[in-house]
This record gives sequence, structure tokens and C-alpha cells, in this order.
Amino acid sequence: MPEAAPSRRWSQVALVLVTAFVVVVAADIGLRRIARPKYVREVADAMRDYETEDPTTLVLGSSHARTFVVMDGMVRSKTGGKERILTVPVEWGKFRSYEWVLRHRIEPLVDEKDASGKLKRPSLKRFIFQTAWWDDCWNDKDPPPFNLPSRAWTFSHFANDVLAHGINDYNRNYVTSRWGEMWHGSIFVSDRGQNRLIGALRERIRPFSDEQKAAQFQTRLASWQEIISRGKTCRAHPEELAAAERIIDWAKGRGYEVTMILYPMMPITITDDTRHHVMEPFELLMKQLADKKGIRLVDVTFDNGGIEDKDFQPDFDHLTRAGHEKLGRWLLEGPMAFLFGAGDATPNLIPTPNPAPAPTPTGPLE
Amino acid sequence: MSLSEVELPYFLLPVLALYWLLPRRAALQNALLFFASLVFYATWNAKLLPLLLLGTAIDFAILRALAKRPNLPDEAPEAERAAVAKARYRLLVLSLTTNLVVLAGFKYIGLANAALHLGLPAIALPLGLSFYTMARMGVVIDVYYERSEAPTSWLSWFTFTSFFPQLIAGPIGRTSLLVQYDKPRTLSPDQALRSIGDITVGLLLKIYVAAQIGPAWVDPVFGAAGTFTRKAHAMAVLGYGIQVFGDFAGYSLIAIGVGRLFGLQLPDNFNFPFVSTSPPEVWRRWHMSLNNWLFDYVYSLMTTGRTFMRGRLGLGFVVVMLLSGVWHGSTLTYVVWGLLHGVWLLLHYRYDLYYKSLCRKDRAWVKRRKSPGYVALAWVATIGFFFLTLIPFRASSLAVAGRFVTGLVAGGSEVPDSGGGHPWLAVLLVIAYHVVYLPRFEKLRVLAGKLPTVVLGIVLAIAVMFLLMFAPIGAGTFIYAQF
Repeated sequence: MPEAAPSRRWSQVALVLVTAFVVVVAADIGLRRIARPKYVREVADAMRDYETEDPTTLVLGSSHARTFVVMDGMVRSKTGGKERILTVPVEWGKFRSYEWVLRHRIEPLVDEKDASGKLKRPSLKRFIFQTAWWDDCWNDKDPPPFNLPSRAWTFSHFANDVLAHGINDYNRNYVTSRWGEMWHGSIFVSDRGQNRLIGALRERIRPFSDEQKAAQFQTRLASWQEIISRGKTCRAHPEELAAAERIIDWAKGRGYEVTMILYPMMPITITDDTRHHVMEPFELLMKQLADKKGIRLVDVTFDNGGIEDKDFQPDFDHLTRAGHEKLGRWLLEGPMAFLFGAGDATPNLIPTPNPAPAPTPTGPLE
Repeated sequence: MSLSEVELPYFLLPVLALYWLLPRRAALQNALLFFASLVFYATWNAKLLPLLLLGTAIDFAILRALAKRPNLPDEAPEAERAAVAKARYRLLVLSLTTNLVVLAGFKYIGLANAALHLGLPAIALPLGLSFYTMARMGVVIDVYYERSEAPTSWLSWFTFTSFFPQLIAGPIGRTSLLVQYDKPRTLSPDQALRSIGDITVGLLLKIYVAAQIGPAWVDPVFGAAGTFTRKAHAMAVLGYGIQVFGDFAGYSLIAIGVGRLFGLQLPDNFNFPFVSTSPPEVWRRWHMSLNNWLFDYVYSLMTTGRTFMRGRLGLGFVVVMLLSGVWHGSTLTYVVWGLLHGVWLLLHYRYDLYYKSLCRKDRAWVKRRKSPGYVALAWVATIGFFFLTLIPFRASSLAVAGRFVTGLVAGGSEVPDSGGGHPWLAVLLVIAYHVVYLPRFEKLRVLAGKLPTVVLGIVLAIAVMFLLMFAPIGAGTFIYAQF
């Protein structure tokens, strides 16, 4: 029999744990030089901003709505802070998700009153509803929208759901996301499910050849095009459309000037087939909805001031920071100049001297 | 809540801290563990807590009643002895009936509903029902046969039956472990380190190995059985065996490690089943707490009782494995799986008897049985059969299993897309686990135990970083929770 290992002391147990912790933290710090932790503006960030802000324009939409964060800076700068845009981006949004966020997170803040019974934030006059083909796309067998527990729930929503259903794969998304937020400075934690770190390490150790990269790009592109082509089978889900109508009714019922904006897609991801059978039917449907509700429609799906493939991130879906600025500038110079307020139809986006400082929005764009 | 999901630290760390901050008294430790276990179970489904508590209370009452009516000594009058024995027997039957009615009711109501068109709403199987029911029944049977004392403290009993690391999927508690709940618990630095090691290895097996192999090799092929190549079918069967092993052995290691952090020992559940060279050895090494339970409380009692089965050792294997199949699920695929293993054990039993008769005649047969060639052949036959029987175990129906077997023999043309996973790395990890932990590599393990503390910390850090980088999100889903 080999000689047994000697018994260890508690100080040694502590040393094992401390060493492990130090090594993980040191590795994390080192690896952050290779791949930065990614953090984007979420519903919670928007709600935190709303607590302290009194916006004149409220934007509700998907992750694409983050363009309006850039536009907020432009508008504040131009109007000296008289016009203020607050953007609520619901990642992986659907119309029903937007409605949930509107009812459960935004509405209480919109209706909040001070001690004298007056609205705490009385300036809101415009409501912008940003959308794209994805938002009305639903199959009845799809799992419930996990983005709500992940990105829009508070602890009380989680606790109530656990009391009703126990912890399950759906509400566990709340815990997973909070865990990620708790360690959001860590590349190890923030990169879970993203694989950017592994890709960056691979690039350093044994880079892919240009041919391999091109092949990978084509594979990912085909996969993304396939996702869009699924829109043919899931579009115009009645419950999603009903939710969209209720959102518009909510805003109109409060007397806000309502605008719906259809967002641009990365040109290379749109095939002739998906243009004709996914994008155009969605545009038509939203036009009919806008006409029916009597609201303004800004359709920049294809006519968008020259948004190109290079303006998008490698995920084929989201604009780069420069892309947001390009699109935002174009929108404010054209179809959304009304955001500068009445009578300013020919905006000049060159910053005025001594503009009112725009508060730094919580959470970056990309 | 699951032992392998992200919510566990939020629960475990405060409970653990409170547990060891409390005065070291059994009652206090049990009270905290019992409360924590109820909270843990309630996070699955609070409405089913009364079912757990009521059944546990009934069994405690029966155990106390058994303790008050010990069997009378042989010198006592025959009539009195018979009366006591009858009373004890009734108590045993009462316990078994209540437990089995609830267990069978929940497990097979869906089958009865579908077969008899009862129109009942779908009823989910309460999580852990099989595991905690079997633990309770085991104690009642042991106390009935006076193999052990009945518990005297209701708090110890309730804590034993509901202890959260084993509540959902075992390992199934045994009577011999009940006494540890009556004593104040302590934790040594070696135990703590061993627990950290078990939990880390368990997480690697559970959320890396299982999650890598399933989507790459198993799910696509079983999803369209018969259409893929022969190699793909073979990899799917091989992969499923490793996936289930990683999933369940990993989960068991986590449970055992967490249990030890509270100073409590849980039974081993896996002992390197893939090194087995005979069918009985497989079942002594695979899901040990279930199979030990079945052989101790069903097979032994059945083959030594006064029924038709007395002495029918071979047939007993068939009955027990059929029972094991039915325990796993109410579909025909599980019945076929159990039957195959029962017949396999029966044939091996007959073969073993025959071989032993040869050995008695000529000692050369003993030597042959120990030769590397015989051992290798026995290993291939044992593990090969074990893996092949996983086809009906994994298939959603017998028709799918049939298509799978056809695909395995004839092969199709499709090649599964392995996606971005690393299934071969997962296989390597399973092999590494065997190399590090198998008894025959004891020297290596002792050497590892002598490593400087800082090196152990670095090894732990590497495992943690590996999990953070490579374990997929949502990989904590546990296959065996459904049973």
C-alpha cells in the first residue's frame, strides 16, 4: 500500500480556495486584454435611467432600439436638453414581450405621482415603437420568451413565479442573468454562451486561414439567412399582433404622438426569397396597422440612408457604434426630424456651442 | 432548484455557513437541514410538500409501532409470538401499501389514463418520489426484520428522508446511515477538500461531459433513427452510455460532496461501471444505491421467502430487472430494457454455474478465467451488451428502437452535424476520471494528495475556468430527475 497523504489543516483548505480564486481572477484580468466583457443596455438600465429622468420621447423596441440612445445624445445636444429620448430595448423582443415590459415596468414609472398628486415625470409627449419582422413571428410550440425573466423581471416577478410554478427552466433565466450581472466585469462569466473568448484565444494561438474564415462566414451567414427564412412560417401570429395593437392603443390613449419605425436589416442577410416573403409582407402588415391606428410609420427597412453590411457587427443583426451614429444622424436629418420638437424641420446636427450635457446612458450600445 | 444549476450557490452557501455557525448539537443541525430541505423541495413544487411530509410521518409512526412490538423470544408462548408477529406484519404491509400505492399511482396514472381513456388531467411525477419512498421503505423493512433499531427522533427521521442533496435523485439513503443524524456532525479539513474535489469533478462530468455528447452524437441520431450511417448509430449508442454516466455519476458526486460538507455521508452510486467484466458486476457498479436496494429488499426477500420464487435465483434476476425497468418508466421500452437485462443476468448465472462445474473438474479452467484474453472477451461482451441495451432505454418507442437497430446494422446515408461541441474532449475527460479515481491507480492519487496546497488550488482554478469557458448554459438539466 502506498503511504497515505498527510492530513491537511484548515489553513491549507483556505489556501487552496484563495489560490484558486486568485488564479481565476488573474486569468480573467489577463484574458480581458484579449476579449473585453460585453455589456449592453438592457431594460433594467433603462428603468434606472427613467427613475431619474423626465423624457419627452419614449422608445420601446428590441435590441435594435439602442440606436435611439445615440440619437438621444444628438437631440439633447441640438435642443439644449429640451428634448430627451429614453430608450427601453428588450433584447430578443416580441410584441408580447414589449407589452409585458410596458405594463409591468414602464407604466408604473409613467404614472408615478409625487406627494401633491401630480405626475413625477410630466414631459412625455411622444412614443416610438421600434419593430422588425421578428416581433410578430411566433409558433405556438415555441418555448415561452425567456428574455423576460432574463432581462425584464425584478426579484418580485421571479419570487411570484417560483411560488406559482417552482423553479423551472423558464424562471431560472432570471437567476442566470442576475448571476451574470453580478460578475459582469468578468470575461469568463459574461462570455458564457458567446464563445468570443475561445475564438479570440484560438486566433492568438492558431489563427484560422483566410479561406477558413471565409468558409466560417458563409456558414454563419447561411445559418442567419435560414433563421430569417423561418419568418415565412411564423409571421403575423395573431396574439403578437394583438399585443402590438394594445401597445399602440395604450400610447394613443394617453395622447402621445405615436410613431412606428421598421428597422433596417444587414443587406447581405436578406435574400430575394426573404425580401418577398418575410420583409415585404411584414412592411405591408405594419403599414395596415399604422393606417388603422392613425399613427406615423417610418419604414427604413430598405430605404435607410445607405446602411451597409460594414455597419453591422459580426452577429449579422446589430449595428456597430458607427452604424448607430450613421443611422441616427440620417433619421434625425430626415424622417425623424420631428424629435427635435415642433418648428425645427431643418435640423443642423453640428453641435451648438455650450449644449446641455446629455447624461451618460446606462449601458453601452454594442 | 438543482444541485448543478446556477441557483445552488445562493442557497448552499448561506445554509452551510449557518449550519457550521450553529452550536454543534444534532437537534439544531437537523432542524436547520430539515427546514433547508423543505425550502429546497418547495422551489420545485411547494404543493407537493404535504405528500412528502405525510408519507414520512406515517412511516415514522409505523417504525415507532414496530419498535414497541419487538418479536418475542422463542421461549414466549406460541400464541403470543404469533400475535406479535402478525401485528408487525400488518404494520409492514401498511407501510409498503401506502408507499407503493402513492408511488405506483403517480408513476403509472398517465399510462392508465392513456390506456383506459379515463380523461384525467396530466399529473406530473413528484420529483424525487421514487428515491425518498425507497429510502423510507428500506428502513421499515430493516426494522421489521430487526436488522436495525427504529429511529427514536422524529427530527432525525424527517431530516434523513428529506436531506436535500439526495432528495431529488438519490443516492437512495440506507438504514445504516440513519444513525449519523442522531449525533452532532463535524467536518475535517480533509473531508472539506474531498468534498470540493467531488463537487468539481461532479460538475465536470455533469455539465460538461453530458452536455457535450448529447447534442453532438446522441440526440440527432435518435431523433431520426435509421437515416444516419452505421458509424453515427454506433457513436450515438456509445455516446449515450457516456452521457448518462456523466450525467448521473456527476450528479451523484455533487450530491455526495455537498452531503459531506454538512458532515453527512451518502451512499456511493457509481463505481466505474465501464470496467465491469460480468453482468452482475455492472449492476454492482452502476446506480449502486438503486440496485443494492432492489437486490437487498426484493431479490433477497423473494428468493429466500416462502413463495414460488424461493430458491429460484436465476428467475429472480429476471423479476428484479423487470421491476427495475418498470421503475424507470411506464413505457414498453423500459420493460424491454429490464427484460433484456434480466435474461442476460439469468444466462450469465447459468453460464457461471456451468463454468464453476468445469473448474471443479479441472483447475485449468480457473486459470483460463483469469487470463487476459478471457478478461478482455468478458469485458467486450459485458460492456457491448450493456451499451446495446441502451437503445430501447433511450428510444422514445419500440418502433424507434427497431429503426435504430436497423440503422446500426444496415446504415443510412446521413452524417450528423456535430456542431461546435467537443464530444471527444468529453470522452477524454471520462477516461481521465477513471485514471485518476480507479483503485488500481491509487499510487497516482496518493501522489496527487501530496501535492503542495498551492498546486491543488491551481488545479481547482483550472477546472473552474474550464467549466466557465466550455460548459454550455443550461447544461444543468438532469436526465435522471424524470425517474
